[in-house]
Amino acid sequence: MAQIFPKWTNDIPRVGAPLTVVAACFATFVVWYWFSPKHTDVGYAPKQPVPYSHALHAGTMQMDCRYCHNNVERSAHAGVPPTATCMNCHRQIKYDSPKLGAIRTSFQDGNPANDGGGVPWRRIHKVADYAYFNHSAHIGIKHKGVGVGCVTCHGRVDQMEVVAQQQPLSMSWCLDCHNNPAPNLRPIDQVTNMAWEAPADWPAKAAGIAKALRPPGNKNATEVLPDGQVIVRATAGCTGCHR
Amino acid sequence: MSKRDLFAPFRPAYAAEEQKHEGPKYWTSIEHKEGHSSVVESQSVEFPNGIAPLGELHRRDALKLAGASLALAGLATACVRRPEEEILAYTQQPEEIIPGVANRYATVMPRATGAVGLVVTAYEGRPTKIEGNPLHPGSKGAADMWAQAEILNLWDPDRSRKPAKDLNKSVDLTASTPATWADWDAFAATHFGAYGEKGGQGLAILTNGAEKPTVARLLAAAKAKWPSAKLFAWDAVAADRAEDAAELAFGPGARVHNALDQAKVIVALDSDFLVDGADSLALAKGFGKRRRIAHKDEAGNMSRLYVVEGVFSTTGANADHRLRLASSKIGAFLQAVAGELAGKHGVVVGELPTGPAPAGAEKMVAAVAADLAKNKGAGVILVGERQPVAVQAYAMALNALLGAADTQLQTVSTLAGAVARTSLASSVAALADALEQGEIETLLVVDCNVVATAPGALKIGEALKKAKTVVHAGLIADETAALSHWHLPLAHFLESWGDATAWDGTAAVVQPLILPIFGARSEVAFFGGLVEGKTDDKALVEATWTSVAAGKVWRKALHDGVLPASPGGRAVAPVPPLTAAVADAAKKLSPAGGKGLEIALTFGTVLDGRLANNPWSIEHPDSMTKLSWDNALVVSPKYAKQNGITSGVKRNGYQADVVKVAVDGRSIEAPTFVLPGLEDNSASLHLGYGRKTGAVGAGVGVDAFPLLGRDGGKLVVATVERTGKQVELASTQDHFSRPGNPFNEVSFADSTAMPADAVERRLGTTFNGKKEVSPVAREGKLTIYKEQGATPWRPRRGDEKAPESEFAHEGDIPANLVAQGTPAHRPAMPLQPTMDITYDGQQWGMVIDLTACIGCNACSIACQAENNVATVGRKQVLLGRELHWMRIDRYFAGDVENPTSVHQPLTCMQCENAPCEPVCPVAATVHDEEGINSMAYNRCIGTRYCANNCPYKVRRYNYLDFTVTGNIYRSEMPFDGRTWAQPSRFEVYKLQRNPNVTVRYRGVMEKCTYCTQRIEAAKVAFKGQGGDRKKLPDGAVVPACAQTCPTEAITFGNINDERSKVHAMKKVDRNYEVLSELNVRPRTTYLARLQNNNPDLEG
Repeated sequence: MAQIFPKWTNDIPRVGAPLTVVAACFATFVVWYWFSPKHTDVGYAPKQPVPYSHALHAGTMQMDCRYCHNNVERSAHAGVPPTATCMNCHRQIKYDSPKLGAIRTSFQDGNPANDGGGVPWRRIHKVADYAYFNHSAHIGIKHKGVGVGCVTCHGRVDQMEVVAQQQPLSMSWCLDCHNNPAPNLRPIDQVTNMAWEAPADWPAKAAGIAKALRPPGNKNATEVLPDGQVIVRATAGCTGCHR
Repeated sequence: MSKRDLFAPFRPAYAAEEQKHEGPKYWTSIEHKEGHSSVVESQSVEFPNGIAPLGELHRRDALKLAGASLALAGLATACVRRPEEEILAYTQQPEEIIPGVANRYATVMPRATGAVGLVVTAYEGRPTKIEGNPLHPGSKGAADMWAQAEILNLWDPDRSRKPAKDLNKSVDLTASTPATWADWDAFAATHFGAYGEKGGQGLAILTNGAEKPTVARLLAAAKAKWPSAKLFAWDAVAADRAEDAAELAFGPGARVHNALDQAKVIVALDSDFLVDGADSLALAKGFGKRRRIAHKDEAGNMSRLYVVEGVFSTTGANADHRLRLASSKIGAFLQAVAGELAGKHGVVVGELPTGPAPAGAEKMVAAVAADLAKNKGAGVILVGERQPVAVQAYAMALNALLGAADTQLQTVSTLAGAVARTSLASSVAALADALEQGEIETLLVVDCNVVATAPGALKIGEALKKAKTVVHAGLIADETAALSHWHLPLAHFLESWGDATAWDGTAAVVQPLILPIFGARSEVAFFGGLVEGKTDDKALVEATWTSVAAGKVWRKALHDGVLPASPGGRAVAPVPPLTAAVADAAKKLSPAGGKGLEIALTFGTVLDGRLANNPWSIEHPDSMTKLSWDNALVVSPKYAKQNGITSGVKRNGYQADVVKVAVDGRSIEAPTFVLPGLEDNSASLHLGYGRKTGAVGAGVGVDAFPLLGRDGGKLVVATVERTGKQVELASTQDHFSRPGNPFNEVSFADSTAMPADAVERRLGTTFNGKKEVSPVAREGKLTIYKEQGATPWRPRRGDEKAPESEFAHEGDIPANLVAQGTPAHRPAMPLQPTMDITYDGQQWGMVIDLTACIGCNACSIACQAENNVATVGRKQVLLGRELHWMRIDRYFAGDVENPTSVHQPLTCMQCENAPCEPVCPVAATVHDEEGINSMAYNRCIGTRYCANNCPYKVRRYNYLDFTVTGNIYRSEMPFDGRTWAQPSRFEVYKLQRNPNVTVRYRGVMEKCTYCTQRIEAAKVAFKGQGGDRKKLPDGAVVPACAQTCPTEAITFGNINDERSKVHAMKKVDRNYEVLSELNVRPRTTYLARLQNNNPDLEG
């Protein structure tokens, strides 16, 4: 009876073993890099129904973020402005611009196809449905007089013609800041200032405040590294975000 | 090593120990007490429901599926794309809505037993949760399970969406002729216009029994417009006889109010006043006030509850002393008490007739009379709705003679210019007669399912066919709609403007939370359109109240949910009882009873059927029988034995014999359920089941309305015959209630080396080489507590008898919860190793006072609404898969014929040494820094190790995708010839969901989180005010269960805060941990129940 396997098959394990290792490494890399939100989500910049320019409104004209995103201090959601907010100005300015067609339709008669006429803005920043992020809790820690700036998570929106996601918004990214919030804290009155630069004495001050944010409770909340550095977990439990 | 047979019953040693003594002290069912294998063994196997109970999956199938899913997973990951989402902002932002922030509005729910004031939460205009309104006298901050479940009635996908014509020609809605509101308006204009000339001759209007001032105003206008028209009313849940009795005792327009916080002695005769009947929420609230005893020095404040009844009611389960007495003998009992009071205690009872005590009740009569005489002015007798008017009036008069009015305990309110009332029962009987005699051409039925809920003896369904035109306006196309020529969708009260009056006469405005979702018309708009040609319900309601509240006062009334008192309204006045009239009626009363079984027709979780199509209500286990999805004829064990009824527990379910119940030739077939504690010849049967319409409730249970006689009395004497048939009922009484071997799955620390049946691994504390389990529910006598405080529980020695009172466990004091270390009394080798924990900062904890808990189920429904807990359907309940996070265990103690009962709400205890945490392979359940055993759903992979390891059995698993199947999983998809698409049901139900709680998917474990979303919301809110989220003030966080508890039995807060209420409660000496010997250190602890015993009735 003839041999089932020809002789060259003997080489398969010899060549195959290293190849398997390489393939496994590659597969790991593929998942680690391309599947991560850093790759999949950062830079996401969908085309919006109205070519609204943050660079013009927030940058050149220096409008405050809260003029439009006016619920940011009161609600979990910063909020996208109602059409009426756009029309506050665009009744007078560029009222006939063809680019504003969708806004005018929405305002005048509403578009029943869009659930009562809302402009169908494309969502850019999104955390998973099971993660409960709250804007108001982050931008103002009032009793300490600090907050996290808009720019920290959203980037220099005032320089973007088309808004693109700047940060991965992944859980590990959240935890990076929660473990060490000091670098991202700023005075509460500078939260919406896109161009704020920390004065020299700020980092030390912020570090002190961050330490005070340490939750008491079980020992998971802080960790002292061998070199004496204290890792602070502003929120140590799951329940802050997952309910 | 030989393979362990997973199906083999593992009989834990504690069960054997229990049997060696006199059986378990606290038992869940007769079978449990007697140690039947059906209970003990199924509880003790590793998987009580079996491993693959559906039998659909075998090893090969599993492998095939595994392969397929791997292949598909490859495909799926390759196709992961970020879904494009839209944000649709408002065109014009409504002024008061902030997306993501809940709005809360005060409104009121009309109900025949007194309106219940509510505060309803809405997200972006979408009502999601109902709570009680603290400013409303009918609620006082609490809402019962029926009021809370109404939110799901609003989102019922089966609600009618447009008017329909000619429903009477076919039950099938699709075959009826669809119509529009314009069609109706055109029809109404000509049809009712024609009645103008006739003065309304032949026209009749039927409404429900709830007091609604604007509707009453419009009906009066209708009566003026059509003078010969007849107005009828019917409501099965109304306190019809109580009002008749008040009229008999105090004159027309009178109504009796009880402030139970003034009561030292409460005698409930056949009355389930804590959950059923007029003003039950306020009564429960007052009752609770006198039942929360924090220290032995306060023991004198505690009220004493005597219950004399034939059935075993929820109120009966709370009794300090309970006597089983047939309902027909209650009148005699009452007269005997009066006789004793007059004869021995010198109370003047006037003309009231007295009599001897019924057999077996002599001792109770003497004790009750002595106690009432001793506590003159602080004692009250309450008689239930099933009792004849004469008996109820007798009790009211007797209360007045005992001086209850002097202390505001019992007050009587009157209505100026009131005339003698027509009882609802006589009203509906008159309607039936008028229909029968052809006097009614056109009948208008508004929000009243008269065909299903009228007494069966009236045969109203038949009579209705004689009317030429029947118009039905209702939420859903129900049994009455099926016999109507026109069916008009009526708006839910959460969609309507209206008004309603509480039992004490306080009026409140029904405020809409949302526009009618299915284009329905509100009741006010409907009548307004018909009578005045106006359909603006807001204006119509305002027009009723312009003289009382306008401008700022009106706006405040809307905000508070209570209208200011109106002139001519109900007012409390000192009214002497008309004893002669009462005596006369009492003498005329023929002794009820007769040969046969006395059946009390009662209300369960679906009330009179208005909640039968509501998955939450119909699935919720009944307070006493723990029957879910069914009603049954509940009989006593003795009756069952004598009549060969063999119903009993079978694995997770209940095998029930079906019997034929006949009253005066009207008969139904009903399954039987054997419940301990009923009077031997008494039985109870819930009304409201066996409905014919609605995808959820149709065909579930049996309809008991046919048994009701002409007078609508809810006590009938029936003959019962066995049919030989058997059905399976879903009773949860033995589900989860005992831990079995708690650490069956994984053993810890030192236990790893031990064989599975080693004594050390068993539950309980070892004493003299024997195991003894500390009782899960504990109770003791007030007399002992008053003298000694809480005597600690300890294991029995040798053949020593169990101590009389069992309060806290030695060392179960709060110091152990707050301080570090293991309490000294714990077993030398704790089953769960101790973790080194320092409590610091905010630490949440809960205390449940078993003395105050009345077992009303309100907390459980509150939890379901707040936490998006899905319902599973009867089949799944039979498999033990119900999802209620809050389970209310009902235990019996004592002998089978005449036990006492205790309710114990159980949720996740948030153990500090949580056994669930170390066994989770993916760390989906871990502690947070404030002591909550958090559950990250998205991390859970569904191994169920945690649930297996949970000694309290409070973790729930989504075996199927219960949520998306439309909040209800019924395998029997086609219904009544029609099929309904499950996903479309979900599309409606999902609008009720709380957006702050993850909706769980198949394969995910879930459990109580102490309403962590409320904790986080409180933190964010406090932070927004400039506070520190780690120093929340006491009371800033109230979980849904504690919020709605009518007796305030549940206290929640920061146990580390020495000024907090929960800290004080933890320091009460009756505070104990359930299964403390396990050393899991639960954060939820209980206060042992106190029995305010009367020494005269003992020994």
